[in-house]
Amino acid sequence: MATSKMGLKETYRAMIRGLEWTPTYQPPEAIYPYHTFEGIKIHNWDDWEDPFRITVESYWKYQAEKDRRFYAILDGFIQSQGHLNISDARYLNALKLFLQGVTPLEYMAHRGFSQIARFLPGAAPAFAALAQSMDELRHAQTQLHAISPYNRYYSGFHSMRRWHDRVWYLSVPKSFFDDAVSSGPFEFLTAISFGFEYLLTNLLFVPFMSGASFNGDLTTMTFGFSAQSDESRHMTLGLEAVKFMLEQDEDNVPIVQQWIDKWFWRAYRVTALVAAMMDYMLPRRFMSWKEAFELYFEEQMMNGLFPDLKYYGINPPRHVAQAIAEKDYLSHQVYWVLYSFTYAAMFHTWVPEPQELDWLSQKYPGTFDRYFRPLFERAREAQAQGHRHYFAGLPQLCQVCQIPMAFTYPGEPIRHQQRASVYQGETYWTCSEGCQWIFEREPEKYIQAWLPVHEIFKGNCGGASVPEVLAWYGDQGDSGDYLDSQDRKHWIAWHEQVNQLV
Amino acid sequence: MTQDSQRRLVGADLQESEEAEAIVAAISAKHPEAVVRRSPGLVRVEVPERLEVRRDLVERFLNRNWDTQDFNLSIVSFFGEIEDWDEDHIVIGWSH
Ligand SMILES: [Fe+2]
Ligand SMILES: [Fe+2]
Repeated sequence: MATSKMGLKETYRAMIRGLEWTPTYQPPEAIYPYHTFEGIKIHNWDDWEDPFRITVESYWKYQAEKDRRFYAILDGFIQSQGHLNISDARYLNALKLFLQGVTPLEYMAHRGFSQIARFLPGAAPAFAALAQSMDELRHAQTQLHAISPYNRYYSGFHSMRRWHDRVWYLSVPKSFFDDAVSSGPFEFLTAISFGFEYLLTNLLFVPFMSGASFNGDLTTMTFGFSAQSDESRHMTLGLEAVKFMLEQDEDNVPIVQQWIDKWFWRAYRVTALVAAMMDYMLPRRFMSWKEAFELYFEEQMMNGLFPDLKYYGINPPRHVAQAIAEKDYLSHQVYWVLYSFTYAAMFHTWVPEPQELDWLSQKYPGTFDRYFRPLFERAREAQAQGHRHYFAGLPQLCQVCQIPMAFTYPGEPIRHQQRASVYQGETYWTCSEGCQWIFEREPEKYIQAWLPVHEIFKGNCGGASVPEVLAWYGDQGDSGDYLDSQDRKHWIAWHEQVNQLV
Repeated sequence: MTQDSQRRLVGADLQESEEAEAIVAAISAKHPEAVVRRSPGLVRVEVPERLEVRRDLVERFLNRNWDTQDFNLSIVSFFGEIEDWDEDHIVIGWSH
């Protein structure tokens, strides 16, 4: 082909640059109405450079190849009864959390980036956003396809869309993304492309994929790799967006700093669910939340990225010291919350096995034995006597992150924090300095939050009793302790059958 | 956490495959100080300051032609900033 004579850089310039035109029928601000109200000043859109230099032609070529690889493995997984090869059926609860909480966000990301592609006036960032929008749709689709084989055999997979809109813990990821898509285009890019994709996505996907690999879940591992191979491009878009804003005008610096402060904390709070999943739901463990946080956040971001951004006058996120202080106890606090409220969750929890408690002691020498092991040991005893521990009553939720208010003062694993703010005569509660700061910056936004517990008490969720709410969720034996679950019964029965055949 | 803050690392996480092994070998050949870490399904390579993936080295380890854009099929994550990406090499560094 004649075009192959052009190098990568020339091809990219020829295919992407100059795609925009000057409108004559309408004033530009009628076509692009959203990119100025946030106060970000852009002088030259052509300064935007996509280092991946992806063009339409190469985009289709590589995405088609990724899908070919993925679907070949998915077929093999189904044909070989792959669901019997996972480490243990408890593992699937990590997958349920993922399908219910994360896959719908992929679809929202698809919608968010198509809006960015339409409303940013520069051709290069608009094309990068368009490519990401298509990626995110692919992620939602491949995740549904990859996880659907489990739906034939196990609970917790059948109604993810309904649950995402209704179930209490899923309002945590849902409200996070709704917060981002309802902001302006530059804040959205800072929130999702930078705060989530660049700063924290490694903490979600890398441990999750390695967890899938280690626990014999071939199909999840494959979609994870397939999605994550797009992620490098998304991370690049995030870093590029932030640097572009910082380089275009000095007045942009304080605005971007506040967004980094806000979105680091918002995204970090969502990853609390991942922390619990990693330390408690993977029967075969390879890395603790604390180790992952140190490697993927402290080493890469605090020692790598933020010294780089210092050049522009950008400081590390305002509440980062609190996140670092929490690494020793975050996963235990959050799993204990999930354990205590599993009577109304669309997945199962359980008391970790003795050797799993030992693993946690070893990974968290300063905190686990002192504060958390006694909780689980008492819960095991109570369960043995027929009293599975559940928290009686509904929890108070943080007005911003919507997680039950179970967090503590930084560095103090058991002294609980409850912070009150008054706005227009009403009191609003937040879980931490970070969430309170976010609330007080934009109270008019966060007072509109759809807080599941409030909505239950208002009578908007099928009724005010637990059975009524579970019926409204569409519970079909998806909730409760793993020991009493259909999943466990089936898992044992199927493996007995397999053993007899062998 | 790395104690030595002078020595800022850059790096890449690749999905375990023959092609990724060749890329890691090419990076290690170019940067003898490279550290390779493995976790299930993944191979991660870290280099101080600047990491270069050179097409000619990857081709030598793969024993076939390799397009630098094929890096898209192996990369899972990276840290640093992509400084350059053309027919002959990919460079990850920190610009400031
Ligand atoms: Fe995605
Ligand atoms: Fe909060």
